[in-house]
Amino acid sequence: MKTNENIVKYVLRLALTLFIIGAVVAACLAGVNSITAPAIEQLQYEKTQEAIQAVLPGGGDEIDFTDDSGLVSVVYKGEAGYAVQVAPGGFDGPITMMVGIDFEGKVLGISVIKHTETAGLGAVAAAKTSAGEAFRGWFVGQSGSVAVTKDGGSVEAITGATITSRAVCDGVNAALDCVAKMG
Amino acid sequence: MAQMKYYYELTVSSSPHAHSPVTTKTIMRDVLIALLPALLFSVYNFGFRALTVTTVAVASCYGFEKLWNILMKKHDKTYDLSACVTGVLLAFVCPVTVAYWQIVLGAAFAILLVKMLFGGLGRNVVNPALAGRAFMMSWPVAMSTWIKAGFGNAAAVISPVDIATAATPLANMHQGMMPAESWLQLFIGNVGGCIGETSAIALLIGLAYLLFRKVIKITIPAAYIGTVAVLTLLFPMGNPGFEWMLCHLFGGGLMLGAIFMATDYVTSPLTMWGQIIYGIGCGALTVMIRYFGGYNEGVSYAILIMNCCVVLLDRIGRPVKFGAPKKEAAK
Amino acid sequence: MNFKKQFNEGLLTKNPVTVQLLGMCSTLAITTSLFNGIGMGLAVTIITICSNVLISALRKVIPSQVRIAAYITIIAGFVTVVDLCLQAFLPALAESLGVFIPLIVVNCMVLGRAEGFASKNGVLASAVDGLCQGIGYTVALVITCVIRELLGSGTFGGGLLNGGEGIRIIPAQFPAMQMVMPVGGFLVLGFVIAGSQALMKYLDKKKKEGVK
Repeated sequence: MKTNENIVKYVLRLALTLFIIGAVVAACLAGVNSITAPAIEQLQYEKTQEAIQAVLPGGGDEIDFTDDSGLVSVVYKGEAGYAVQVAPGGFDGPITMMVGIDFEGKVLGISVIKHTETAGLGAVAAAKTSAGEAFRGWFVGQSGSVAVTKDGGSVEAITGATITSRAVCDGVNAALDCVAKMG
Repeated sequence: MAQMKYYYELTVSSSPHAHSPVTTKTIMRDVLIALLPALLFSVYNFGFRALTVTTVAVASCYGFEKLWNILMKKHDKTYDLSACVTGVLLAFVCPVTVAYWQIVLGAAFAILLVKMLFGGLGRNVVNPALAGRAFMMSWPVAMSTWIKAGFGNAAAVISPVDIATAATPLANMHQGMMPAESWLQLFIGNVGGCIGETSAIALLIGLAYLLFRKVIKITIPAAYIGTVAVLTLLFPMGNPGFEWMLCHLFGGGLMLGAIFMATDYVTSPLTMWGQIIYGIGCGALTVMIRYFGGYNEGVSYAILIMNCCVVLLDRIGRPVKFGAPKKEAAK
Repeated sequence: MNFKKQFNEGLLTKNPVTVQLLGMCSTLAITTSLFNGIGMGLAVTIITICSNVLISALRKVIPSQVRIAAYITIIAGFVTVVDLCLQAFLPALAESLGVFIPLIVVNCMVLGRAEGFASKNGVLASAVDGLCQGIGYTVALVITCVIRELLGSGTFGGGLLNGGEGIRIIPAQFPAMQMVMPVGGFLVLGFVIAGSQALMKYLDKKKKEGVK
């Protein structure tokens, strides 16, 4: 039979051991985090800048914006125009992409940052292949609003991926609307 | 070792020693005959390439099974024609523009991995032809390019770049629109789609033949097609609702799947109640995939999914052993 | 301590992937390119060695009633360190492995070695065990990766060689996309397991013949 005192000691030992292990691990993580955090932040900044540069020569800085579509997340303004980050709903989750638009309201280019579309079909929209570049090329120079040929527009949809193509059009339209409001 | 080869033929079993003229071979021959009208119509609809694609599929299915038996030193049963049926069905669920190497690889997958690796005819879990099609979705563009129906268009098939493509009726219905064609056109089958699926009437002639020869029972096709009919009639997405239902029945691969694939002996339940639930499950899944899924067509995946449930469905409605108490037998 | 026996067990007879079937989640999900396989394998190897050493050193201190909680805390600590380091210094790998790096915390292989080996053996033996099991895991992953990448994308060394594109072996229109999809993971893993079983059988037979 254990006495009460023994039980208290025993429980305390369990708790203390776990507490010490947790504390030491947390302290180590804090140390590692202080080393890696600046590097991670720097990388993320560079990545965003790279994405802006891809559609807006010269890059840009974040500005305030108004948006009715709910698809626009960030707007950057640079010397050549705007870069609008939009996330329309694709076939299988949001397609995060950057749309470059000049001051006259013409699309300079689009680039897909993150997506979960079907490999071989919808993923063509983001692919660094000739088919992917051809699809993204349809948007360059467009203004007002865009649509796929099936819906009466001029964008040739990706074979077998009409939904993805429509989503990309939605994103570009949201970006165009947003920029139009800037005047 | 030489004697061993014929050992199984010397097995002595208890009586009755009944002999039936019905063998696997005669059944498969009947299925092939029942598929003939659809094949003839596909040649009329898509041109001679439909015939060559089917021939290539049949030859490669037969060849792969023979090759497996030779390599694995198994008793060769290719004479039972089951590989030929798989070949025809595999070709029937592909677009006519599919490349020959693609259908050969699809046949290899269907026969070697899905059928022979599990122990050959009678032991495969899922329908080999449908599994082969699922594998061929590896080339999604090739498997979703639909040429316009009509014999004249077939000449262009040789250079697949210039073919006039068209949205299939199912693609329109997936968007919630009525198809461009009337339901009567879908019934006759003069529309785009997979090689063997377009003509409902040709497939129904096949069904009549199979029922006449008592190769299959009406249970599974009736449960399957009936479920699709009820669900699409109750929840139409286009007007008028009755025509919407007919388009769902005659457009796409429902007839082909319900008559020739869901009824595959090996991969469907044996008991009547099992078959009814299996058919209803296939129908419900088909409608759900067509309504809410990413693909336009749900027949192949619906049947594949229900194939996997057969081992459970076979427990339902087992006949009661003579003299056994009812409750125990149900277990 | 028998290094040769431990190595043999880790690589073949008790391989974490093909025999113990541990860590299936990451195995099936990320084995689509050589880069992923090597990266995941090395990350898991490092974490297994570290957690094995620490848990073995603390095996007499940790009360057995709370050992699993303590092990998981230690493992989670190492995983987070590796995760942060990858994000900071190898962003390409961190991006391509995504959520599967944090998920190493619940990779049964790491906890399995902690519970099954490190909690009962000395520090050095545990380190060697972590290394051997890690190598076995990496080799199995890399083999699966090479097969899936070749059949599914038609390339070799994706993410590593030829500027990340990989060396093209099969022309782009031929590879079967399903092989880099989940279904391909299950198929190829099945064949890799069958292959390792056949190899073991062959080696056993050879050994017996040698004895005779």
